[in-house]
Amino acid sequence: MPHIDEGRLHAWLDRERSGMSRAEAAEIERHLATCAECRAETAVAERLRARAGSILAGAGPARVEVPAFETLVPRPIMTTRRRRSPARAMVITAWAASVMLAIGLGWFSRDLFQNEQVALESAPMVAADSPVEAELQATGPAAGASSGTAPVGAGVEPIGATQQDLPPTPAPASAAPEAAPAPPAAPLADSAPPAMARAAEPAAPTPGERVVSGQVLDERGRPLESVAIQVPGTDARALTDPQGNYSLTLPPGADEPTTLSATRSGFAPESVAVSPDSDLEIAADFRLRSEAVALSEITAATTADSTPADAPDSARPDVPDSAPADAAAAPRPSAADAPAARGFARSAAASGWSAVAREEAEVLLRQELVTLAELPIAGIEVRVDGESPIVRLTQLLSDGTELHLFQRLDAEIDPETAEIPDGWTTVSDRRDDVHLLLAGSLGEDALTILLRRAE
Amino acid sequence: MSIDWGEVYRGSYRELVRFLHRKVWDEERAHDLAQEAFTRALGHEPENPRAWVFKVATNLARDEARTVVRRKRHLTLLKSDAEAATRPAPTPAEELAEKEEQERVRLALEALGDRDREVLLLWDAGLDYGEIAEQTGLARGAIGTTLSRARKRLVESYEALEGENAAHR
Repeated sequence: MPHIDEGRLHAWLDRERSGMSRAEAAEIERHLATCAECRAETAVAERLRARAGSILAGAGPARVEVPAFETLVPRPIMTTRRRRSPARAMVITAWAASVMLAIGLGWFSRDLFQNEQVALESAPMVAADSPVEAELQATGPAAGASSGTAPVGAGVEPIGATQQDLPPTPAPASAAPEAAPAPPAAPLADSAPPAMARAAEPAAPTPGERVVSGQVLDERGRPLESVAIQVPGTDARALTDPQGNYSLTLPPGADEPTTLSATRSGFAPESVAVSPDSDLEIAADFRLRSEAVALSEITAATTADSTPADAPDSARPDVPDSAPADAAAAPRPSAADAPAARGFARSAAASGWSAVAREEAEVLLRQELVTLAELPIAGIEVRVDGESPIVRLTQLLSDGTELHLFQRLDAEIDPETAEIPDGWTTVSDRRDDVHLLLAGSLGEDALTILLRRAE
Repeated sequence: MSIDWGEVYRGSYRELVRFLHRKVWDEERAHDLAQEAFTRALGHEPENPRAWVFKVATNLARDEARTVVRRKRHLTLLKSDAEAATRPAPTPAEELAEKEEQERVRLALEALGDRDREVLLLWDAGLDYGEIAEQTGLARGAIGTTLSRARKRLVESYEALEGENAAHR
C-alpha cells in the first residue's frame, strides 16, 4: 500500500466524526503498523489537530452561559373567546400586538436586561412580569380601564398600550352611526374585542362549539406570527403564535360554511372556507404572500373607526370613508401625505410641521435619516424654528402604534418644541452629530431598545 | 416526528455561540445571533436540526458582517456604560492577555482561505464530515484534506504571531 495522504490521515484521526468506514480505518492501521514514515506523519498530524483545537479554544468566549430555552421561545399566546365589551374596537388587537412586541423586545433586550441584572430568565415571557411588558402595561390607557366586562383569560388584563395614540373612541352607543348592515353580523371593528385567553389554559369548549386551528406560513414556508385570523362579521378572532399556529373558537350557530380570513400587514390577505361538517376540530392552514402594502391600509388598521365588514374580504381593515372626527376637523393633508393622514391631521393644525419627502428631509438635516429598521415609515415632517431644522419621522409598529423619531443636527431637541402627545415617553440618543429623540406610548425600556437598533 | 428544539438547543448552544464568536468577534452579538438562529428554527422540521441551525447562523453572521461597521459604532457607545456597571471586572492584566490572545487567533484565522476557515470552524463546533460537506458544498472526501490544510495553516500562523509577540518583549 502506498503512503497515506494527509487528508486520509486526518480523516482517520477524526474517525469518530468523519464517517470513515471500519474497513478503511483497519486498512490504515495495518499500514501504520508497518510504515515508520507514515507513523511519523501521523504524529505530526496528531499534534496539528490538537494544537488547532487548543488555539481555537483561546478565541473565547471562555464561558458561555446558556439561557433557559424557555426564555427564547414564547409560549403559544392566545386563543379567542367570544363575549365582548363594547367600544373597545381595535384596542384588543393593539394589546395583543403589544404583547407580541413585548415578547420580541423582551427577547432582543435579553442582553440588556441581563447586564442590568434583571432576572428576565426567571420571568415567563408572556406574563406581565417581563420588564418591557410591565412597562407596557404601566402605560396602560385610560380607556383600557374603562370596562370590566371583558372576560379575561389567565388573569391577564387586556391593556391597549396604544390606546392613547388612537383618536378618542366613541362611546358605545354613539358608535352606531358608523355601524351598518346591522346584527347579527356586527361590524368587525365596531364590535367589541373578544377577550384573549392564553392557549396554555384554554377554556373548555362548550358543547356545539367548534374549534378551528391551523398554521399560517409565508410563501417560503416559514411560520408567520401575529397574523390575525378572523371570522368576518363576527368577533371570533385569534393571533398566530411564533410558530404560526392559531386556534379559534367559532361562534355558536356558525354552522353555515364559514370563511376565515388571515391578515397581517405586509401580506396579502387570504381567506379559507371551512366546510360545515360536524367535526368539532377543524383544520385550516393559510399561506400568505408578502406584498408592498399600502401605507394607507396600515394607517386605517390603527383607526378606531372602521367600516362594517360582512364580505369575507372586508375582514381586512378598510380605509374609512371619512376620517375620524378630530382628524376631519384639521386641515386635510394633501394626497402625498395621505398615508400618514391620521397622525398628521391631528398635529398639523396646531404646529409648524410640514410634510416633506425623504430626500428633502435629508437635505435639511444634512444627514441621512436615522430610521427604526424594518418599521414602515408613515410620514416625514420638518419644522424649522430658530436654529436648525427638526425632522419628525413617524414610524409604525406592527400593531399600528405610532412612534415619533425626532432628529436634529448639532442641537438638542426640546420635548416642548417637539410637541409630544401627553402620556408619551421619550428617550434620547445621538448618532455622531445627530441628536435623536424617540417618543411613543411605550415604556422607556422598549423605546430604548428600539432606539438602540435605529440606524 | 417533531423535533425537540429544546434538546438541540441545550446540546449545541454553547458551540454555536463560540462558532459565531469566531466570526463576529463580539460576545454579545454571538449570543444574539445564536438565539436568533434558534428562534428562526422553531417550527421548521429539517432533517438535521443542528446542521440546519448552524447554517442559519452562518447566514446571519454573514448578513451581520455587512452592517457590522455601522452598528458597531453606536453599539459600543451604548454598551460601555451598561457593561461597566455590572460585570465583575477582570484585572487589567487578565483582560489584556485575553484580548491579545483573541486577537492572535483572529489574525491566524484570517490567514486561512474562506473555505478552509469555514470547514475548520464547523469541525471545531462539533459537526461531522457529512454535515460540513453539506454546508460548504465540498465533497465529503475532500473534508479531511481541507481540514489538514486548515489546521496546519492555523498553527503556523498562530505560532508565527506568538514568535513575533515574544520578540517584541
